[in-house]
Amino acid sequence: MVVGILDFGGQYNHLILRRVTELGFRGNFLSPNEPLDRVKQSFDCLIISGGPWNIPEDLPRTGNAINYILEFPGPILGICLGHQLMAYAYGGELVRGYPEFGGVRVYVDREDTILRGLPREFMAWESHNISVVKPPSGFEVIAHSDIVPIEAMVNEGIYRFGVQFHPEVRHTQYGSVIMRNFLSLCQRR
Amino acid sequence: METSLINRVVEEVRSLPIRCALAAISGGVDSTTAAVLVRRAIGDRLRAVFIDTGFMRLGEPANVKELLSDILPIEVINAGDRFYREMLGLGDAEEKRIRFREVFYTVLSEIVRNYGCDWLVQGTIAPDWIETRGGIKTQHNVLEQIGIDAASKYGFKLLEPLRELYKDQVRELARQLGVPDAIINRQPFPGPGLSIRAVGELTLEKLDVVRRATKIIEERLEGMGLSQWFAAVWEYEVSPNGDLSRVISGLGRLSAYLFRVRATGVKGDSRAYGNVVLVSGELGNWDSVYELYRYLGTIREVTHVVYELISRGVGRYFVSIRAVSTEDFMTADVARLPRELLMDIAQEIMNNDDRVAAVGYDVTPKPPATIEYE
Repeated sequence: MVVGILDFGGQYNHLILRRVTELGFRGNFLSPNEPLDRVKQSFDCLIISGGPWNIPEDLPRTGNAINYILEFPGPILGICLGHQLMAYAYGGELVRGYPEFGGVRVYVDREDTILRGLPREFMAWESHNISVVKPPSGFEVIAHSDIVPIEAMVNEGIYRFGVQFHPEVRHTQYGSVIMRNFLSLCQRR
Repeated sequence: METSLINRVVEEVRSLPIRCALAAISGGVDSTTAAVLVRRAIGDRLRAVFIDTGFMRLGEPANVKELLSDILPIEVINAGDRFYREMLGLGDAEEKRIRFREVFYTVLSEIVRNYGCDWLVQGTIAPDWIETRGGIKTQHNVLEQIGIDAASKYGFKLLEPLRELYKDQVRELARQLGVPDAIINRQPFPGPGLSIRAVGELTLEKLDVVRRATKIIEERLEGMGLSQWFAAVWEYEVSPNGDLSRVISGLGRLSAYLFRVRATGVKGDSRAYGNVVLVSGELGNWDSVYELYRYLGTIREVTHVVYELISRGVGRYFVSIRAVSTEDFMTADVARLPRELLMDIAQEIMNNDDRVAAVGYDVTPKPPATIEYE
């Protein structure tokens, strides 16, 4: 099984690869300009990570990412910018606001799928200026914070998962549990 | 994983046509480990130098030479005058860092030529090129990753055996290689040294103030399990800010000010070069000092939040105490230190230097701040 990590030049992309490898999986970076067919052939699941772009203004700089989100057959985890792109792709609502940086208390609304095994609250590390305020239809909100209503969302039927915080950084509690949860969902499929 | 990595690197380096490789050593774990690793492959064809930039801590060149005496013979090259000539008077953070990089590699290319070497070994690790390429800040040891061709510009090829690793992985590797604990556990010290901890306009006086404060803070916070702890210094010039004061009114009888100086942060994967907020007054309880960043760090131009511990009517400079915990230096949390300890250190800094007008504690995690100020 190979995990594709979409590289938007975010600060923690390389850390995602490190975590994937540490958890015993194989990962490779993937440029957002790769044609969808090649992506389908090369990878079993995708992680769409962070980056310095603002959605929707910078959509042209995100290459084929929206197409991957909508059409890639395997599971996808969106992190930060990837979470926002996922919300945008399926018709959720984003605003420029509710920024969070550093440690943020996240409350788990449903301890399932990628958040399985987590306590009701935990500290997560974040760095965002844009927030998802309304989930796309078909997505369930499974975590929130004091100021951002959607810290994690899932659509289990189509294997799409999004988190506003960064599970790949050391300071996020249970970050590796979340990464492992996602990777084992990939494996099971 | 480490043994196979060591073998792989040693084999790779042996297969290269190396006449002689120069290693630029700072005495930190990254550059030392890179040099020890390459030395395993090519033995005495590795030559190691320590460049004294003039931005070192008290006694640093001699200390490093001593620390390394058993594993790596080094030559100390004094280039302080050159760095001073090129950098004193600069005020912008990136201007300082880029000028530092240019002088640093110019000096190295001269040494490479003198020694008849054709390769340079450096301890560049993943966060260095990630932050440089991401435009967060220019690390002095990153060239190829941002499109600078070392061979044509400086006359050497680059060996960067640690470029895919993070600090905690380098430390693990260093243990395998038998690097002494004193180096493995040494706290990181940036290449441009005190030049970027004398925040804003670079002067000899500011460098002297930060060097003295650094010694006190390093000694007082040693052995507490912190990842990095140091002093930064800038002018004590502030203007009151009513809007920011209102934002934190729930945490105590507090006032917020903006320093004139600017400092570096990282927000939403982008560089931020903005305001440092000073908070002074009585907190409802001490622990809420660690909540200040939630209220102030989200404001657009703010990159660092510093709580004032002590001040007096005389003196020109502000000393900021920085203490963080982190493994890989990509994110960092503020060390939860007791108020009494910080007050005690602040008092000692004031007693030791009458140019210091006030001392504070930086309470900003990374992000939105970076660990350093520039």
